[in-house]
Amino acid sequence: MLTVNGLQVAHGAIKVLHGLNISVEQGEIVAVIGANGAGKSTMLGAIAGIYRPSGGQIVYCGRNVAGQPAEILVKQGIVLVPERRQVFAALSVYDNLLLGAYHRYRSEKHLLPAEISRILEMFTVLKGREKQAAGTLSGGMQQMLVIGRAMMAKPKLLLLDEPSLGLAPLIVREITQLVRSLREQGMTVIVVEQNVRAGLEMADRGYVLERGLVVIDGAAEELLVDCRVQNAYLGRK
Amino acid sequence: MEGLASLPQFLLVGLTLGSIYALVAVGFVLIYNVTGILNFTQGEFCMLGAMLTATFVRSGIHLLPASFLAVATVVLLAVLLERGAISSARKATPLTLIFVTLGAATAIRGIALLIFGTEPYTLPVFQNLRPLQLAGVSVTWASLSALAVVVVVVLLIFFLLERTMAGKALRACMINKLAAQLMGINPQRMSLLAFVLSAAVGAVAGIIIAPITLAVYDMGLMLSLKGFIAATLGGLASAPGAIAGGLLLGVLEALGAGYIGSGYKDVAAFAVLLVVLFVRPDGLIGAIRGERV
Repeated sequence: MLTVNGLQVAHGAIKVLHGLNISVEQGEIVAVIGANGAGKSTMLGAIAGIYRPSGGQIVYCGRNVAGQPAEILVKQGIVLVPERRQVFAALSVYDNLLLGAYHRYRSEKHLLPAEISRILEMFTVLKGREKQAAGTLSGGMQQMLVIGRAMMAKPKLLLLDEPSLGLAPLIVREITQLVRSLREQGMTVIVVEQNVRAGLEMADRGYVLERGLVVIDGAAEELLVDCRVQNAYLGRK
Repeated sequence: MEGLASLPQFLLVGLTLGSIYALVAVGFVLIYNVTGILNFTQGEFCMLGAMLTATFVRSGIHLLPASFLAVATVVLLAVLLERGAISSARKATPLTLIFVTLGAATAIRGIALLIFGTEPYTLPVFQNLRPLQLAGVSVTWASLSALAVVVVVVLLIFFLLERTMAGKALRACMINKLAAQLMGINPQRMSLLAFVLSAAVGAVAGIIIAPITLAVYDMGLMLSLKGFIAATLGGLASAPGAIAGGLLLGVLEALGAGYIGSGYKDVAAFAVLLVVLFVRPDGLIGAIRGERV
């Protein structure tokens, strides 16, 4: 579904990705893990159209989409949930969800109330809070809201940037279960995590990024017991 | 020296003037939060709204169609300005774009001087009606109609921002441009929408101020500055804040003019700006320096 070939991205004079290669099959959940500054978020940003690559290809459903802006890629099914939650704080929970479907509002306006109800059924913590300003929700609820908002966009490829960041372990577990349940809905997911265990527990496969390059890849279960991953990221010898 | 008895009269004058500043300030806030630019052509939108309406009325067109025609012309100019000068230079820093708007404002003022000349224009509305006397306060019909129009415009803005999808998208873009873009909202289209709205609101402000203060080709500069001060008072972040800032500024000016002397009207406004800048430097300067992608 997605093949990233030799992706290069620079922020100003600083090169962050130096020819990154990853591939994701339809229906897969892929975790990209690595230390702070390894280039994980930049990779997601480039796939979602926030950063313009300076080289390489991003082949999505058979077409090179590198350099296309985010608002176009959303229509094609690539939806990014950015890190640090980024709800529309002053808007209500309902309006946040509604804006998730912005790109198909004109054509499918009549379907949206039912879809919002369905999302609220899925994210029960948000139920009854439709009119509440999103900025007043707890961190965990905000994370649920941004995932729900992204689902309103009907993504084919969902990109999650650090969904567990700053959340309590119990909520991280809920989000892990939620991400795994997305696969049953036919969604393909790339999840970027600094929380290596949470990331790999959500995923089928994983890539380890260091300084803008893939250094290890394999099945998520294998990476969890891989001694290099354990030494570097899970604190075991 | 005036006594307390004049206070209600000063308050009324202040609220009338303040409601006009409020509209200019709303224009500032809409554009600033979507694009990161302080648009100093905002006052020129008011001037053009006033001068064009006065010109159309002089040429025999009835006030209402003349006003609509003037607003439409100003909106068209704002579209040309946004597409021609702002959108095409969007990779420039906000500071550069602020200078672009200052340049555009000077150009508009110059062209207005050539077209309209230096003489003040009047908008003959409610001239033959005697002011109402309400609890000892003399209320002119021009003031009353100005306040009524401002209330209607503010209600329309809130309806648009709160109840329509385009308005919600605009607010989303004002709150978090990146997240909005990730939902498929095109920031450039929102920038254009912000300019269109601000121009329309600015033109209306100009039309309602014309019967009260007369319309002159160079009235825009001071309105821009007052609108900017009002928006700053309101924190530059929201339409309700801008409206509150505008009303507060108008009242402070009227009190300054009434109790100290009319020559001190603008002193009050700029003193307020200085106080805000001294007391809340981070709030304002931090916000201006904040880079927007």
